[in-house]
Amino acid sequence: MKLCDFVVADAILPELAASTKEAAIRAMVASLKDAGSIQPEDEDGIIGAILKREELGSTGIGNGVAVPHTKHASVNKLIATVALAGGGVDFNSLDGEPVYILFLLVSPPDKPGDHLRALESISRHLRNQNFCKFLRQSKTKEAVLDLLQEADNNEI
Amino acid sequence: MSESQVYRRKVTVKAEQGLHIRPCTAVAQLAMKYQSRVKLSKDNATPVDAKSILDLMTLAAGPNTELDLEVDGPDAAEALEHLAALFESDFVVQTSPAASP
Repeated sequence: MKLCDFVVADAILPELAASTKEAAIRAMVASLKDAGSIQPEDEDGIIGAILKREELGSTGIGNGVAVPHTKHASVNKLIATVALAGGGVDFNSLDGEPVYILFLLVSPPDKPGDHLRALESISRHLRNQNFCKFLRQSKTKEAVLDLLQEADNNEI
Repeated sequence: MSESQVYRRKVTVKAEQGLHIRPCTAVAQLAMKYQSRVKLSKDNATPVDAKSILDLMTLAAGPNTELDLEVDGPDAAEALEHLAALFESDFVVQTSPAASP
């Protein structure tokens, strides 16, 4: 699965300035709503579900990365957005460090395989130090999108 | 210097939704408790470091997937048993964690 198959280009946030985990999640879900990928009436439900998932265990998995996510019946295909927080967000990460790269995923409840494939795609690229470095240097939506496309084409 | 033996065992991902972030986190956090090197592989592909959540996510192991667990180091025997038990229990952490988020 390629990143560009599920990351909503218009919802990319290259300069997220959020002081808390909740604010970061709200901003990313709002961005998906503004991009038309989720309905306004589902926004609060999705935010609530993501925050509830965080209570089970932080998706700040270390190395400055967070992967907040939820399943939600309102989407019929997996969607995601990417946010870059130059100043770092306290995500209660497993390594105690702030996060700078956030991938937020919303997936349909009946397609766990798609969710796993999306995680595989995200993690495969995030293991690449150059990908992370270039991602954190990207200042515009277009720059981030170009980078995702290059990653999909194995050009990094 | 003691010689360490490489321990191997096949484990199965029982979780209905496969090895997603929560099970990956449970595996990595348990593996990190041991000095030994812990690796997991699927379908004879290059093994991944089981102490890395990102590495584990790259396995994209769905339900009923069999993985090869390989442990090598001074506490390998104990690590193998506990990790195998974690898979067997469907990733329920056996000991009460200290202050998990």
